[in-house]
Amino acid sequence: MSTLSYLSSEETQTLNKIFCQYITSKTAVALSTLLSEPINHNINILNNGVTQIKNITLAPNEIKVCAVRLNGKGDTHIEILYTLNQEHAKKIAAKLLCQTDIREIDEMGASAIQEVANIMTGSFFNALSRGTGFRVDLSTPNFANDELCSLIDNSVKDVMNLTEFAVVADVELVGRTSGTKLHMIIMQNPDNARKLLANHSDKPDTNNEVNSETVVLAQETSEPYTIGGGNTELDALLGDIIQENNN
Amino acid sequence: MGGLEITTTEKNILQTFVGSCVAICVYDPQAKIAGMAHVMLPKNNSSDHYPKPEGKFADVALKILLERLVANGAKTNRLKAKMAGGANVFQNEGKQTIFNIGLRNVDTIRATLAEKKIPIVSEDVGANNGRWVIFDVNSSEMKIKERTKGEKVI
Repeated sequence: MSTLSYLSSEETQTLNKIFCQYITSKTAVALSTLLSEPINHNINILNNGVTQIKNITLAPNEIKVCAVRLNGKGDTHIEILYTLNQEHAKKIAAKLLCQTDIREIDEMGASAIQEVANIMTGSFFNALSRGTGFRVDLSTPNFANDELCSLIDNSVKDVMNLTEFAVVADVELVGRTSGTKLHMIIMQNPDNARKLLANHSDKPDTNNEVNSETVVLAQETSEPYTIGGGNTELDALLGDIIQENNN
Repeated sequence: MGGLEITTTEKNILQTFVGSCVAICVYDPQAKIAGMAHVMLPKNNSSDHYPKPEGKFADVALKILLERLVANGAKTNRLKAKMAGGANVFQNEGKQTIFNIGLRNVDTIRATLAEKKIPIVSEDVGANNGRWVIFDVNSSEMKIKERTKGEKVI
């Protein structure tokens, strides 16, 4: 465990840049496709972690939010909490369920919002894997309708003790046409944040033909990762590809 | 997501929203009983033979669906299937990519049902958008709503 708890301002700036790259290249694009509109995003790494985000002044209609919780565990542990106010949650659900509007978020609405969160999370961790080589298992999304403070506590307590400092990035994504707004709150402990910083490298993102791309990926996975851990689900997928290429 | 449900006398409709996931419905049209799983990944590679949630992995989900359907009065030789979903939602990952999880889910389900000789009567899979899938056990109809294509029944 690192003896330094808070990230330095240089570390914070670098982390912000890396997350911005991941969000711009993958996550925001995924959301844009789902909602059929361009998405603006803004990232803020909070100096005072969990305390700061729980002390945000919220409008009355934002105290209770719709949220989806996901995490990635394996070579790192990152918790992601998506939050939207009720109105924006209804807008997104209505769009995906092909309705002009919906009166409340029911089982189907929750299912649609979980799918959005699942796709955004998959895109984020794809970018993380490309950038760092980390392999993680993704959780199943969990939908909740609750006060922001409780939701934050539930996510962060799996990452660390509530009295310790958590590295929290608040990403605000806004639909340029509809004004639909959602927050993607990324939480990890400082050790994992530093591990990400140490392992990230900028690689060109190429769009090759399937054979060369899958061969490159297969070759990469045949080399051992320097950081331990494994991803059984990803291994299963990659195993299929390697077998197909060898046949 | 990853859910699995069987119809009851009170609940005739099974529904879910899927992107790259696949909604697989297996039903006995004569006994009027159906089960639906919201499948997220093709294979269970964990050490747990019955991981939760039950519908998450295609291989586990189909095993549990068939067990529960038969336990509730369905006959295996009458079973049919319909499925929807498997969209390529990670399209920005590249033209063709191992992360086309939608296609892999569909392929695994097809192969498993073929092994068990359960015919897939109809399907709406692939493309790029999410689908709202609604199955009515009384009519055996699967209604699909998709943002760019509207509504259809398979």
